[in-house]
Amino acid sequence: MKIKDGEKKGLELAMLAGKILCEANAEAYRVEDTVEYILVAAGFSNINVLTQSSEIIVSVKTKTGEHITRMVRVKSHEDDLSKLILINQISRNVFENDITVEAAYHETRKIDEAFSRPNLSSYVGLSCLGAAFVFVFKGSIMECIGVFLVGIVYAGLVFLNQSLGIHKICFYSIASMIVAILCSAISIYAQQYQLVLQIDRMITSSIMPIVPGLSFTNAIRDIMRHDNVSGLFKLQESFLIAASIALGVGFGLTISGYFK
Amino acid sequence: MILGMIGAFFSSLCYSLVLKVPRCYVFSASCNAALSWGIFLIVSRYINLIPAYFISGCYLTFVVQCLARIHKVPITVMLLPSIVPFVPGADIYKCIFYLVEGDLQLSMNYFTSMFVVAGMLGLGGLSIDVILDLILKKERRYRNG
Repeated sequence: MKIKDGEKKGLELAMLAGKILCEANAEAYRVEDTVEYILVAAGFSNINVLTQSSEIIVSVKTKTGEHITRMVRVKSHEDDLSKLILINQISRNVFENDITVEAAYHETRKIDEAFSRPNLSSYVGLSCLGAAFVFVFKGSIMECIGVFLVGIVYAGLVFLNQSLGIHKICFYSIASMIVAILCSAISIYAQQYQLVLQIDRMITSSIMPIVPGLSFTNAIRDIMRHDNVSGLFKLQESFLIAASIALGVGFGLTISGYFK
Repeated sequence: MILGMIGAFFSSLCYSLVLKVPRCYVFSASCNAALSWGIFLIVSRYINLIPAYFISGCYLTFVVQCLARIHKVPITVMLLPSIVPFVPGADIYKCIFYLVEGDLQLSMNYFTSMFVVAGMLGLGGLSIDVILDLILKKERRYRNG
C-alpha cells in the first residue's frame, strides 16, 4: 500500500494522541474529536473514529483514494488532567497549522514518555481529601483530625503499592480494610477521653479517595451523550470497585469487632 | 453551612491535586465547587433534594463553561474538580455495603439515591450545554467526507 510519508506521520500522531487521551481517562467524545481534528489537518478525508474506553479504531481515506484502518488497544488507565490540556493544545495547534505534524509528533512522544506516577502533591491531596469530606458530611473537628491520620496511612499505602504493584481491585480491598480497622481503633481510643466520634461517618469520609463516585457520574454523563459502550464500561467498573471496597470495610469491621 | 463550604473547597482542591490539574486552574475550580455546594445547601432547605441537585448542577455547569472559555482549557479540567463535593461516592459504597450485610431495603434506598444524584447532575449539565449551544450557534468547522 502506498502511503505518503507525511500522511503516515499524521496518522501515527493521531493514534498516539488518542491513546494518551484514553489513558488519561478522557471522555469518548473528546478523544474522537481530537483524533478527527488531527486527521483533518493531516489531509485525510472520509474519517471515521470509534472510541471505547479500551480501544480506538480509525478508518480514513488517503489522497490517493485508498482506505486505511488502524486500531490501538489501551490497557492502562490513570487519571491525569495535565496531559489532557497538553494534548488539547497540540491538536489545536496542528489544526490551525501553527506547528508541523513532524514537530507535533515529537512533542506528543515526549508527553507519552513522561512519567505518569503520582507526585508529591498528589500524595498530599490523597491524605487531605478525606479530612475535607468530613465537613461536607457535617462532621466535627475531632473527626476531621482522625480521618486526616487515616488519610496519611492511605497515602502511604498508595506509595507502597507503587513498588509492589498489587492488582487494583485487590489493593482497594486491602486498603479499605486497613482504613476500617484504623477508624474503629481511633473511635475506641477517643471514647476513653469522652469524645464521641461517629465511626460510620469517619469510614465514609476516609474511603472517599478510593470510592468511584467521579467515574460513576462520568458514566451517566457519557450515556447521556450516546456513548453507551464507554458509559456502561465505566458503570460496571465503578460497581466492581465499590463492591471491593464494601467487602474490605465489612471484613475490617468484623475484625475490629473482636477487639472491643 | 460555612464549614460545609470550606469542606467543599478543600475537598475539591485535594482532588484536583490528585488529578494533577495545573496550579493556575485549581483555585477557580475549587471556588466554583464551594459556591455550588453553598447554593445546594441553601436551596435544599426550601425544596426537595432532587430539584436542588438539578439546580446546583445547572449553576455548576454554567460557571464551568464560562471558566473553561476564560482560561481556554477543555471543560473536563474545570468540571471534574468542581463536581467532587456532589459526587455520590458514599451512596455507591453504602449500597454495596448493605447488600453484603443483607439489608436489601437500605441497599435499594442508596441505589436509587445514587442514580438520582448522578442523573440530576448530568441532566443539569446537559441542559446548560444544550442552551449554550443554541445561543452560541456552535457550528463544526469542517465536514466529513
